[in-house]
Amino acid sequence: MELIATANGNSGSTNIQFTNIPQTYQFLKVVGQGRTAVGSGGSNPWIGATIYFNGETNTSNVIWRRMISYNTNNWIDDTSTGPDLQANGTNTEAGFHGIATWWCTNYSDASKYKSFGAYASGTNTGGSFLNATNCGQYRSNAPITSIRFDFSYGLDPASVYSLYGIAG
Amino acid sequence: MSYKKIASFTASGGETDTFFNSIPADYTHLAIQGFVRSNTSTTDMVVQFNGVQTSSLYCLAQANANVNNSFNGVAHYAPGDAEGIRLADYIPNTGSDWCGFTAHIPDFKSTTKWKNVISLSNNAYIANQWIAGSFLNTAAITSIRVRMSGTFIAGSKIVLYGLG
Repeated sequence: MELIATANGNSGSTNIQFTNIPQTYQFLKVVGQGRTAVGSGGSNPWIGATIYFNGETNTSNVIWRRMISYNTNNWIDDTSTGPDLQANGTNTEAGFHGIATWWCTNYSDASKYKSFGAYASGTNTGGSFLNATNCGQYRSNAPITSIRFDFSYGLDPASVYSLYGIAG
Repeated sequence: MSYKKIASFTASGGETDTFFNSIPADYTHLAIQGFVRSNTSTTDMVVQFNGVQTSSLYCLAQANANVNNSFNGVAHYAPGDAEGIRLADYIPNTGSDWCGFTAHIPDFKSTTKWKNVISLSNNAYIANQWIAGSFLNTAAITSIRVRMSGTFIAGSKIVLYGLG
């Protein structure tokens, strides 16, 4: 497993982006944590990110299902948020960051749809929490050369997400 | 943590299983990742360890959410109900759909604990599958069989990694 790039939060940007992804690996993996920046909005205990591939501006080529458990609720199927990394919002204590790991199994394949999945969690000491798994497909044969996670809110500069390549 | 490739399998088509034998004890954990497709619908894919095919030594729990906007809930397979631990279920056989999965086997060389597998997978039918299971045996894992209930379509790929 090799580090491809690390992206830090920027209060002036809602995105974590990885571009010019080398096509020399079998799998991709993202590991990181984040929280929204003070003044950027995003006051929920947890903030999910919608994923966009290859510079697309909509998710018409993406399907996903998310299973979540939050607060005192049992596991449910939820579609309100896209295939996400997870961050925490500003109503959580300053030390808390939402955590996530994301993977894609065949990102460089030019003849197959791409599969991805994620584990994510956000919490605070007030008893609010969210645990989620999220899986889906990028229903395009185009190799993935860029990924953008849009959190809708600016991110604290302490937020950090790293992209890794794994040889097959 | 690093992923070190131990072995891989690329299907030429028609295989029902693949074996990873003589797994080195140089690592702390194992990971299995890949993307697969089957020749029949509603196929599952399981792992078996050390040549054990006795269903009483395997159990698992599975949670599904599907593309029809409904949570399918969970299913539990008690010891005796499954001949292995699922890596994925409802593996597709049509269109351009493939099943991607990533699974981990922690502390695989322990000789004092039962072994666990946790897998996350997706496909076009059940877009999100979260499966965890146990091998009720304390022996260190030295070999893994990955068995498809149908057959692998050419191009299916499975890679075994060691994690330091």
